[in-house]
Amino acid sequence: MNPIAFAIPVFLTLIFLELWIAHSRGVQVYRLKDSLTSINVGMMSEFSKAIGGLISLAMFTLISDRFGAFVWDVSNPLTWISALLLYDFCYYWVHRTGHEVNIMWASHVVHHSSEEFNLSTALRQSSTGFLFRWVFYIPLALLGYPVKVFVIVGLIDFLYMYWVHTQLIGKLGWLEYVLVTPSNHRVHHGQNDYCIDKNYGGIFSFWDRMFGTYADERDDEKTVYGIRKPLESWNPLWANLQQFVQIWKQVKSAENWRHRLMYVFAKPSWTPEKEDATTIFQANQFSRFDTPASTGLIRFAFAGTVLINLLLMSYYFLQSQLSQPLRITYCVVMMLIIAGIGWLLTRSRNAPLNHSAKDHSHA
Amino acid sequence: MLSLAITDALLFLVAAWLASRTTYAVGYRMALTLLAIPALLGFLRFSGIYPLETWHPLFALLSASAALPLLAICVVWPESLVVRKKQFAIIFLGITMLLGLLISGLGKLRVYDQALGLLSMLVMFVSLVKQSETNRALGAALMLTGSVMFVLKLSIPPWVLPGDWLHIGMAFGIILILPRLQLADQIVANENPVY
Repeated sequence: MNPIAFAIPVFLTLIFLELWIAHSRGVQVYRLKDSLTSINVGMMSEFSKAIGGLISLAMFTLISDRFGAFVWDVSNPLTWISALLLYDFCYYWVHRTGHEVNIMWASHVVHHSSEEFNLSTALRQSSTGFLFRWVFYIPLALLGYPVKVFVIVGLIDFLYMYWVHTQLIGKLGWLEYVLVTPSNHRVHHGQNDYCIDKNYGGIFSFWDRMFGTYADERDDEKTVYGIRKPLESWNPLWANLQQFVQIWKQVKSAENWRHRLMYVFAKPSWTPEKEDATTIFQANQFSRFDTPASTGLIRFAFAGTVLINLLLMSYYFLQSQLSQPLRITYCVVMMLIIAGIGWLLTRSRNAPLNHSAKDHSHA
Repeated sequence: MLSLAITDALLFLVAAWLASRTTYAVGYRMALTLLAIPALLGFLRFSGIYPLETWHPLFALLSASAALPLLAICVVWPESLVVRKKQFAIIFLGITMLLGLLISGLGKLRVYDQALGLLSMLVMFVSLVKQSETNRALGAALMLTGSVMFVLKLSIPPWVLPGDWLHIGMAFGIILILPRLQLADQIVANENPVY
């Protein structure tokens, strides 16, 4: 049984709790279309993992069995502590590469494509991450950690990162020095100049301090969430593919092989003219993406999201009874339905918004 | 086996010493570091101090499939980004090591890393001969000779094992193959490493 099946109701309950607390404090941290998209992106990621996620476990097991150097006693707490530390260290580098190497950014960008920052943003995970991420955890396999330890510390890391996606918790004093907290993770999701390529840690923030990528949240500058090249879509499928398509176009139009390779492996801000074409961020010129949508469409999208959540959970409970082709078919159909909801929400994006032209309130 | 421990120690010391020199470009230094790792593991294994039986062959194949191609790039295209920039050197090593692990390590197709290693040394030799860099070409020739003797399992004389020839050829080969620095270059390079 996939433990995420039990985590989903907890995640959703916490989202409603955050929504309620924010409402009672009179602050707006949620927008329905954005949150529905985040949840749908998360579900698409889970369905894609159901198809391809076994790759990482299979590779880990193969490498650990063949090349693992040490035997670890799973009853010894030191095994777990060392594995968690090492996993988080590897995560730091997966995450940093996800921001600083364009092809990896293409996969990770989906997590940053929300222009809001709340617990639903934590669910906005990539559907293509399973293709790359396992490579960074090979050191754990080479050290011979059992696959059970790898899976459990990975789950701890994943679950820990959920709660730090909130604007409702302020700075946490000395904990900021050791742990990833909502405050220093807000910096990571910001697109202000001081936020770019900062705070990559998963559980521990000291990796960032060690490698010079740490930044404290500034009280004198409002953080604007999202990415410099906005997604401008509610479609989870497009959120996962957009940057790959962009790289493909750049590679196709590149003048020479050096440029082609640079478009794939250099920083996302690389251009042939400039090593780093990052521009100075103008917070007052930022406007959040929105589209007009009828109440009926919003209700339909909401109901669809709830239904797919139930189908995802039922999939976790039933997957052991399904044949492999049936599992794949089920997951692909679900992903297409999710993409369909996103497409419906986005399709009228060129129509004028009926409530406001563009929302500037966030900046 | 004692001779293997000694020659592995020699290779480790030479590779680690050269890799620690900041006057060389990052590509050279990373390739040399990756050559030093299996040498250290070999020393630990053959001396019986701390035998990591699975790691020594693994890092040896990673070295052949990643470090030697990187060294070849350093020789043939010294101005390339893979040679000069850490990020690209790491990406190159990451991808080539992964391919080595999958093809030679897990796929057990040892011909992949052996052929890639030999080809890299051959490319270095030909390129340096064309550039009339005699000493450096001699270095590549030493590396190539040691590797060929290892692959063909030749023990000449009988008390020198094929692995010894590999280690000795590599150790002296990498000393010779690195670009010679003029004194003026070294002063500049200390401030802004290029080679």
